[in-house]
Amino acid sequence: MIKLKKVLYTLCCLIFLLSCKKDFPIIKGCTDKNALNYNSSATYDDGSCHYDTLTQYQTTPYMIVIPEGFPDMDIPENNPMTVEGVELGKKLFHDPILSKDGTQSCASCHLQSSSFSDPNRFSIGINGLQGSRNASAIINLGFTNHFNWDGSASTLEEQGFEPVVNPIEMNNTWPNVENTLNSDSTYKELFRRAFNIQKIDSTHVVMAIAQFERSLISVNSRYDKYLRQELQLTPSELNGYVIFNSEQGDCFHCHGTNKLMDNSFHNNGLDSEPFLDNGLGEVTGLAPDYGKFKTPTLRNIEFSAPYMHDGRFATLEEVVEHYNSGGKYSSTVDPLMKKLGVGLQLTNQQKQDLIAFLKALSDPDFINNPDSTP
Amino acid sequence: MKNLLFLSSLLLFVGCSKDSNGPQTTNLYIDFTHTVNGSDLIMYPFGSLIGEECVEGHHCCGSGLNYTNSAGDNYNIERLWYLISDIYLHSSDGSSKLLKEVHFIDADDPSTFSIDAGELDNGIYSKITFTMGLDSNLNIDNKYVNQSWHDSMFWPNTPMMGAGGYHYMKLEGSFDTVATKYNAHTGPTMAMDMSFDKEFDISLNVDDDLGDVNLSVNMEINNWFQNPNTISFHDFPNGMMGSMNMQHKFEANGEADVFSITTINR
Repeated sequence: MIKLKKVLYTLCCLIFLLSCKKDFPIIKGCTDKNALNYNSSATYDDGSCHYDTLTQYQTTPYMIVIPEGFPDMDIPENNPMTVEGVELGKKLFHDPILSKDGTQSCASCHLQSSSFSDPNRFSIGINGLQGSRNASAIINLGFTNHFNWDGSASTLEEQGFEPVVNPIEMNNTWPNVENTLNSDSTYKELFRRAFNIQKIDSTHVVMAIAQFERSLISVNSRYDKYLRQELQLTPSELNGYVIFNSEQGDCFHCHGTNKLMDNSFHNNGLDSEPFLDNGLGEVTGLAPDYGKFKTPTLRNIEFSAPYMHDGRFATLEEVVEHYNSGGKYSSTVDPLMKKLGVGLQLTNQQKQDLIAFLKALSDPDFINNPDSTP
Repeated sequence: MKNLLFLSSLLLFVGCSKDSNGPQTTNLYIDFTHTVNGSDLIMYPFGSLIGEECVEGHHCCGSGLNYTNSAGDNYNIERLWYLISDIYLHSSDGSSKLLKEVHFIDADDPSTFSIDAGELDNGIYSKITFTMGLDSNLNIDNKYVNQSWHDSMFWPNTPMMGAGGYHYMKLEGSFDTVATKYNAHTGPTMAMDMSFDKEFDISLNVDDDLGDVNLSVNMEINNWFQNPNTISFHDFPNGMMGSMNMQHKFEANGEADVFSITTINR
């Protein structure tokens, strides 16, 4: 009996011990290898990590070569381009970690294959909600200072704050994003190396993404090669070029210069009043701005369908037809729309030539650039 | 007593020093103004057109066309951008001073209405000269790519057209009805330099007492359409950038009496 009791007692102890082993895999400590007090045995980060705050990481300047005919890039003094910053921005841009449920990244609606725009007319956010504007292409944005179709942001950093908290996009909160990133040792290290900060904050998140966006430069289309005298455009493309750059097609007044956009806002006669979307007027509150939208660059326009602020046109043919038929009058329609109701009256051949030129603005290297993906 | 006299003299002296203005410096400002038939330019839209009473037909603004040119066209002005270059002030001794190489004016943006030309040395200044637009030495593709107006004034350069550089002026608006638009764009058509020089005699004697001076350059917009050539908007319904004839007419009218100058001592 005593023997049995001993056996039972030993068995109980053993079971207890085994069960204890199961319950004690957690070893609290600092799990960040880069911390001074890194504990290789620790399985749970208890927030005790501390770092050598005196160490200042050296960043490597990210060199941007300003393309011929482009202005100097307007880079904020407090956010200089660095290799580390661009790499971090690229990772953040493609990481769904910024969204509330971890399902959507910036790249979900800004696809590289579409010149970082959305091939869907309206993007769908994490809650299945959709907006009323097409996600703009992200291309050569370092050379402009108005962002979003309505100009609601004047810097890329400012723009970066919006999608994360927009209920129809990522629907997150910035404190939540900060907490999530701060509990990720990889991001903590990347932010330290890019910005020399110990604690990640929203400001540095948007700074990194802005750096990545400024690195997205496209200047290697057939048109660019033609300007650099590396190739000759086809006769059709050349005809289109002349139509584009003369008052016959009159595209250049808004889509001129090497940037192929004028960094301004226009009402191009899409709608009569009252407008469904007041565009710039929504931001300024000024009636003369109603119905005006930011001019998009025509670079890579072949890849960034659908077109216009609301993605109403699925093809370039439909876009050309809009201008060819003249557009609609409204009190803020741009005076450059001087053929309202009459249209450009291009022949079918001229329309084809114009589209051939528009397609000569495509830069396949840009949408296939492996450096733009993490 | 002697000390009191000395102190009084000193006080008088210091007092005099304090009250004396001494020699004044003269800063020169070049201002740009715009009139139509002698009255200050009022640009369209004239105000809030999009209101309950103003959606249809713009009842609050009549026809929406507030001007008439010598060809009898009713019209309005929705945009006026232009470049003035090589602005020189000339002394009576024959020397001259470049005040500014290129200045962009947006008739809708008061921040572009004035040039601070800096301090003038004492002397007699007899003449101011400038160029409307950019002459061929300045009108080069992408020369001003970092200027804010580069995108606005870009003039395309295609092989067949042989142009390039920048517009001199973009005057745009509506005529006949608010839905009928005109674009009066001047520039170097077919690579021809269509800019023109203006010279105005002034009498500016800068001395220690003059103070700041404003030279005001006025553009009388209706004069672009008359003297010596009467120009109707119906003459260029599809634009005029490629028309040597229209460019020459605008050049001649502009050179005649579009610009005038006044001097104000403030």
